[in-house]
Amino acid sequence: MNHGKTLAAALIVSMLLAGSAQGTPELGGVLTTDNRWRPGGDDDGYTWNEVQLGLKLDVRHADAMFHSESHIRYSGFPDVHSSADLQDSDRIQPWHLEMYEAYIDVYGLFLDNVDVRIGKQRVAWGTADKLNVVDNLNPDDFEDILDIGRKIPTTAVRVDYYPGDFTVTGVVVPVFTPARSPSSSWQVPASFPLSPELSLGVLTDEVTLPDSRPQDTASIGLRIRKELLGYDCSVSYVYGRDDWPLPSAVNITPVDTLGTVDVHMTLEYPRQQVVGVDIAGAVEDVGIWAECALFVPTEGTYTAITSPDGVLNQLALSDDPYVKYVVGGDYTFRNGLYVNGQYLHGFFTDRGTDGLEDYFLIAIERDFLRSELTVRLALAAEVADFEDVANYSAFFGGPELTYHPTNNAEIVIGALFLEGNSSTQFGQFDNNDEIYFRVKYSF
Amino acid sequence: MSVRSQSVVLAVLVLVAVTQTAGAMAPMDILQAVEDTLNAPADREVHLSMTLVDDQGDMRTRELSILQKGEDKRLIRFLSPADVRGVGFLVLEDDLMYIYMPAFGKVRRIASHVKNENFMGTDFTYDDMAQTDYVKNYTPTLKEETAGRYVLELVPNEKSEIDYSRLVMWVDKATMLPDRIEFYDRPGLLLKVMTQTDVRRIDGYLTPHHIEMEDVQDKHKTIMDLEDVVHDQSIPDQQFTQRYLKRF
Repeated sequence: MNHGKTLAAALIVSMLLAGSAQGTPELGGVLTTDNRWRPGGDDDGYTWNEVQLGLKLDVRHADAMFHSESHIRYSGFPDVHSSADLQDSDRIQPWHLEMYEAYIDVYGLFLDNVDVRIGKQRVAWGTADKLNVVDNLNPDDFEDILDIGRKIPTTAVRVDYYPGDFTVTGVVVPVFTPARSPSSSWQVPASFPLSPELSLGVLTDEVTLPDSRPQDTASIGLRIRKELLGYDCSVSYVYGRDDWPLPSAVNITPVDTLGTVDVHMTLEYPRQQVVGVDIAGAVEDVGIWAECALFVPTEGTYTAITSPDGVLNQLALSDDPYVKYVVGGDYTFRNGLYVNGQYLHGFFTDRGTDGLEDYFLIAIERDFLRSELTVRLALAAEVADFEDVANYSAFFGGPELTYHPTNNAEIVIGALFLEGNSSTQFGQFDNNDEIYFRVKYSF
Repeated sequence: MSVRSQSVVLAVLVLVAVTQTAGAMAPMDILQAVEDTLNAPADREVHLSMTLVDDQGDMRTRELSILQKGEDKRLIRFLSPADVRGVGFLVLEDDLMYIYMPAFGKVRRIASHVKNENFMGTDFTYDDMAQTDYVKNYTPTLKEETAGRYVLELVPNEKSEIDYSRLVMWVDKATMLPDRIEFYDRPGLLLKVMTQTDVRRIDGYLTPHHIEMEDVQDKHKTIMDLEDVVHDQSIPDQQFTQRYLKRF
């Protein structure tokens, strides 16, 4: 175990001891095994073999609470490249520790109707089911493509003020955190379009994070919520940064006389403002929700392309505002069949007025044996161009079976299938079909 | 998780010794007396265990706490098992319902289509849990009267969104509490039977401490045992808000 991990483990132990010394500590957690297999394509074989132990600690007082959740993760794939690595247990059995959340709640701070949360936390905004276009204070976490909509909790100060029927939430995120990318098999290989007489040698990139000054790295958010005409309505505003980077500079360097060039890209996270509206309610017995977010880049992002021919500024993202939205509904039929449908305009990674694609998602779920067994089928269609659906669309989804053999235990088996045109976000990964098997035990 | 079990709990919990003289009470008066008895306390707080028993005799237990004020405000919190610990339901008037799931960190509104779903795998539906307004939702007729009981048949009113074709309710004349209710499905077949026993006087209110709901069609049973019942604590309205729902 390296020093960092030792320190982290010591921190957890000290947190436990601190909790037990001061309040009523409640320790719990979840053990999860997660195995996935890709049956075909270039990357056939196991794609996931993780064991994760999540530990939660809560310490409650009448007017305050401490909460933490940490994940000890064993990847399950040895990281051995030389005989020397065989002496390193961290390479033979790679594992790491993640602090997922750690925060303190103080209730009724200064005023009875003011609650404050300080620490690493998830600030979840929006009413849609996972596809929340107004949820922009925590960066996207695409590590697990099967868990779309997951976000990374970040350090923040959150104040909830409850004047009358209103809920006013203010959030300050002092330091920018970028989004987490998916594994390489779910990424398009980095490329840069070159003129036909040139061929690409080596492509490298560097990511430039914002300066650590508050005016550069901080984000702020404000949300006001109230029930109107039977609907829960919110308006929100976020001044932050796009959590996916855009190229701000490209250097093209010839390496031979045959037209081969090396390309080096610099990526940055542009500033943006997001004005959001969301509602949730019901029409008769049908649950409905909608979110709409107006994204306003504070300025256009230009890519300065430097080559022996000179410097060319190319627009990467204009400063024209663009709108993402999602609408959805759910209903449970008398036979217990649950249906959830959503239409999304603008995926998490979509940008700009011309870069927003459309998604139709439906999930059908049915419980059996008093909820011991759940069968779920989820399907999604991606349409990149309604005028040429045949060539610009993709479909993905799959069945999932969840069984609870006892209290606290859950066994999940399912599959993800993808099919579509390579011109779409998901269609280009149509060789990435997967079968997965998870076991979870909570304690 | 369904809200129905709550109404059952509520119905069971609130017992005022309304000593009605039997005699010639009209069916609606009897039902009103039952409802008044059930809703007598201004508020109540209870911890309870729910044991699910399947047709093989295998058992699973859940623990909950329930806060209730009046007929329209309820806050249900699951305390165990670990995989549902912290899950909370806020039920307000007009079928307004919210769920808080700690794993997602936010409150989500639930539409009323879940009313007839089983509450967290129990034999109570969300609607069963919330059902204390019998007078509003049913038309009663007196089927039978014995020395100690009224037997009422309750037929759902046209506008009420009740998923049963009828109920048959046995009302103890001494307590004006139902000690047995039969639930019939839409085709008219007996679906479930609820019994309420171990009635104790708590804070002046008669409160059944043992409730069983048996699904006779599925041969599955849910047993509710109440503990730590407290009434009339002047629970403030603000405890029945989303702010408190997510405070766990």
